[in-house]
Parts: sequence; C-alpha cells; structure tokens
Amino acid sequence: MKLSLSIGKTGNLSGAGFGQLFWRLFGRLNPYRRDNDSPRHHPGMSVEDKRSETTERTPLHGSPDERAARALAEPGGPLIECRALTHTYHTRLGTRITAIADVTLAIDAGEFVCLLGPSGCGKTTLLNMVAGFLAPTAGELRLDGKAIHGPDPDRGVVFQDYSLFPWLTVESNIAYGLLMAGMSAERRKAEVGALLDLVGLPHIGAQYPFELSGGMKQRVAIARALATHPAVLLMDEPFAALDAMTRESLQRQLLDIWTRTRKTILFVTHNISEAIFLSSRIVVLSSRPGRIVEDIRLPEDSRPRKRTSPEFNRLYERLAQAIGVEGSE
Amino acid sequence: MNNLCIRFRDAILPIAGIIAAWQLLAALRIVNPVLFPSPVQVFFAAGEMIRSGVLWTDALVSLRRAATGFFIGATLGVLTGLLTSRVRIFSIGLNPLFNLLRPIPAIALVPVAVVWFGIGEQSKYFVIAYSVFLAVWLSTHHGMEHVPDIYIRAARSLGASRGLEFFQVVIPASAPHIFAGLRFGAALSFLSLVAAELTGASAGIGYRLEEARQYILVDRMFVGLVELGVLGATLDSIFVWIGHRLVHWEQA
Ligand SMILES: Nc1ncnc2c1ncn2[C@@H]1O[C@H](COP(=O)(O)OP(=O)(O)OP(=O)(O)O)[C@@H](O)[C@H]1O
Ligand SMILES: [Mg+2]
Repeated sequence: MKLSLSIGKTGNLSGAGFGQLFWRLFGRLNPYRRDNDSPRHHPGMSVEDKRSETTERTPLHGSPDERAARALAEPGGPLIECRALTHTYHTRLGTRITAIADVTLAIDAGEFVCLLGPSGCGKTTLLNMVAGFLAPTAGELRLDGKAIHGPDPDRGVVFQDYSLFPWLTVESNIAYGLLMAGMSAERRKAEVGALLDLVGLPHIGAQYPFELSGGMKQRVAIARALATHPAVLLMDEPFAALDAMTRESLQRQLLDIWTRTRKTILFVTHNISEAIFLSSRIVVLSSRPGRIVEDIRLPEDSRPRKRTSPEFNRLYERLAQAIGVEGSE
Repeated sequence: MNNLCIRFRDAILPIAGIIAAWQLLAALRIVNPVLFPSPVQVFFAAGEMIRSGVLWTDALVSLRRAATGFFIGATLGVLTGLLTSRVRIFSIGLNPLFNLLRPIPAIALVPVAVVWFGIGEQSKYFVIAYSVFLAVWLSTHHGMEHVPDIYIRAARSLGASRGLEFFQVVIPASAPHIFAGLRFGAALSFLSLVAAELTGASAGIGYRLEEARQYILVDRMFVGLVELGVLGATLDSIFVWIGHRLVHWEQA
C-alpha cells in the first residue's frame, strides 16, 4: 500500500495518467477562466485588500499574517459580530427546530475562539451562518462591520467531513481558491509550496486525497482554507474523526499555525480538552436551542496548557458542569 | 509477466471449464443434438460462417448500429441530464415523461420505429438510442442532483462562481455516476440491438439469429449467441478499463 503511494507521487502515466490529464485539461477548458495577476481581479481578496487595491499581498511564510496584525493594530469594531442571532430549521414534516436562539457574540481579530457544546446544540448551525451557508432566521451577523451574505473567500472553512476535491491533486486542491482569484500559475505554485510547508507536508503536492491519511487530509484542508488569506478561519470539528494521537499532534500544529499567522479562528468542538488546549476564549452553548451559557477568556501566558496541570483540570470541571447541567434541562 | 500469466489463467480456465462441461453434457445425448449442439458443432458452424464471410459482416453491421445508436443516445442523455438536473423548468417538464417511458422496453418500440423510419438503418438507431438515452439520462440526472453539498460549499467559500462551480465541481463530482450510466447504456445498446434487428433487417447478429430460427439451425443460433456474449463482454471490459482511468479516484 505504502509502496503504491510513492509510485503515485511520481505520476505513472501507464496507470491513471490519462484520466488525470483529462481532468487537468477539463479544468482549463472552462469559459470563465482568467489567468492574470492584476489585483483588481481578485474576488478572493479580503475586505481590507479590497479597500486598498494596490497593497501587495505577502505570502504566508512564517511571519504573522499582515492583515490580522493590521486589524489588531487599529482597534475598530470586532471582526465577527453576532447580534441576537437565531436560526430555525423547517423540517419536511412541518415541525420547526430552533437550533440557535438569541446568540450575541463579538469576536476580535486574532482570537482563537472555541464553540463548545453538547452534540446537537447548534454549533454547526452557528458556524454555517458565519460561513454564509445558512441565512439567519433573525438577528444580525457582520464581518468587519459588513453584513454577511453567502460564502466568500474572506472566510475560510475547514469541514467536519473530508471535503477535499477527490479529482484534484493536493496541489490543485490548495491552489483552488487562488485559481478562482485569478492568480498566475507561478505565484500559485509558490503559495502552495509555502502552505504545504506551513502544515508540515512539503512533499505530497502531487498526490491525490485518497492516498492520504485522515490527519493529512485535514491538514491539506487547512492549507486550502488558508490559501486565500481569509480574515477568519472557520473549523467545524476538523479533528473529530481522527484517532487520539493524530488529533493531539494536529492540535499542536494548529496552535503553531495560529501563533505564526495570528489568524482569527472560530473552532467548533464538543471535546472539552481540545477547547482548553487550543483556545484563547471558550464560548459554551447550551443544548437545544443553543444559547451562550459561558464565555471564558483564557490567559495567553498559560500556554502550552498541560492536560495534567491543576488549572487545566479545574477549568475542565467547570466546563463539564456548564455543558452537563444545561444539557440535562 | 507473472501477472499476465495469472490474468490469462483467470480468464481462460473458467471458460475452458464451461466448454468442457458443455461438451460433456452434449456427449451424454440427453437432449437431441439438433436442439442442443455440442461446442464442436458450434465451432464448425462458426467456421463455415467465417468462410462465407457472414460472421464478420454481421458483427460489423451490428457493431456499427450499436455504436451509432449508443453515440446518439448517450450524447442526448448526458445533455438532457445536465439540463434536467440544473434547470428546474426542464426537470418539471421532462422528468415525468422520461419516468413514464422508462418501463417501456426497447422491443415494444420496434413496430413504431419501423412505421416511423422504415426498415432502414434509422429505425435501428432509433430503438437503440432510445434505450441508451433513458439509462444515461437517469444516471446523469441522479449523479448531478446528488453532488455532495460539502464540495459545493467548499468551492463557494473558495470563491467559485455558479458557472465555474458547474464545470469544476458538479461535473467531476458526478462523473462516476455519468460513467456508470454510460457503461450500462453500452450494455443496453447490445440488448436493444437484437430487438431492433429481429424485424426488418438483412444483416446483423440479430437478423442471423432470426434466419437460423427459420431453418432451425440451432448451431448457427449458438454462434450468434456466443458472438453477442463475446462482443458485449469485450465492450464492457473496455468501458471498465476507461472508467478506471477516467474516474481514477473512485476505485481507490
Ligand atoms: N437540515 C436540518 N433540518 C432540520 N433540523 C436540523 C438540520 N440540521 C440540524 N438540525 C437540528 O438542529 C440542531 C442543531 O444541529 P447542529 O448540526 O448545528 O448541531 P451540532 O452542535 O453541530 O451537533 P454535532 O456536535 O453533533 O455536530 C440539531 O438538533 C438538529 O436536529
Ligand atoms: Mg456539528
């Protein structure tokens, strides 16, 4: 199995070669394709980039993301603002399920916020509204002061299930947002290289998602979501399907990426340890309908948070109670 | 090389076994040999048909009909599938019609086709294209309607417009379904071919079967059956071969 992986990496034309070529050509054969470097044609630009079109976008290498740094430097309003946000599902049987009720939340640029709550409490619903996949039933939702209408590259999303396009190589998956933004092939290549380094997978660009382990897939998904330099990274239980060991190593990596890029992250989980280990702030939702029951800011100087430390355990107990007590009501 | 030997063994041995069992069954003479010919008889009948040239001309004529009918039906099927899965008006208008047509077997359409198009090639193309069309349409429509939401959402949040998303996400994501439909359609083109050739034809495998029936030449019928089986299986394995490469991410 491992052997065939390394063969696939070098691209054996006798095997699936012609299919790969077909889809590569097919991807080019679309009438909408633009291939230029003019910043005016970057629909993937973030809010700030659009404001000043001449600013050169810096690649992600090591240094903290320019935008997040700027947002931190000039204190305006919060980056994400939910006001009295409510979402009600209408089921086919005609019943109504209020998944999220009256959530008011302000997230500042650079924060690592974990949404913690029991299964079915509406975490995904809230995240999907921020991502623009769902429209709020009531309330307001703003990103950088502007109302959110639908998905946009200024919010990168990492999904709970594997979402990489199986017909594209890892490289093409990561470059997808850049291609949509009309970036030239050379610059895409450079950015993809930097992103693969960032997630610690420098040599897998030519492989296909099915050749990767679950943990690798999610790391590539993170790279893909970061590629368009989004203002926010939205992550919906991205590590839930992984085994404990992979999960912990990916948590450390994500934290590393966060400290290096200072990206604002909204991270959904129902794992208390994960929330404590990662967050700069934990928002606890009650079970249906989801309401905020706790909003805890964690000191930065407590990092790295050891799972065996007494502070960790105290916080764990408190959060467990917050979830448990509300859950039993 | 070793691999090739194994493949050869896996392909040839079972067939050799079947032929041996058939020969044995025929040799026991439980059934009248005129009604149930032995492989040797069929082999000689085939030799005679090769010498007179009918075997090749029949195969060529039938293959051309199947290929033309398949091409027309598959093209229309994919295009209509694209329309009905993406444009609501088309699906409202056409889906009920196609769902009514689907239970109608190709053979039931032969009399209509002969009246409409005469006994020439067109009526055969029509019957074959009809059954291929419905199969390909259904799988295209279904595949495109059931593209996982997560791909659409991922593409949208990466900045894909609706037009781009169609080409870059919907088509590749439904390609496995479309391809399965094409493969099924190819098999159907052979099934409906025989139906189309049973009336109003002067060559083709189906016609030769019908002719053999009139003279009760069961060995020649068997030649036709074997020919259909071999051609159909070859065609199918070609489709599998292409499919493995075209939707290469599916088999992993
Ligand atoms: N499409 C839908 N139609 C109807 N009800 C839905 C739909 N999606 C979610 N719900 C309901 O809304 C509630 C919240 O769902 P949501 O997926 O947001 O929960 P969650 O907190 O993400 O749960 P989990 O941790 O299991 O992923 C659930 O009780 C669910 O039954
Ligand atoms: Mg969820």
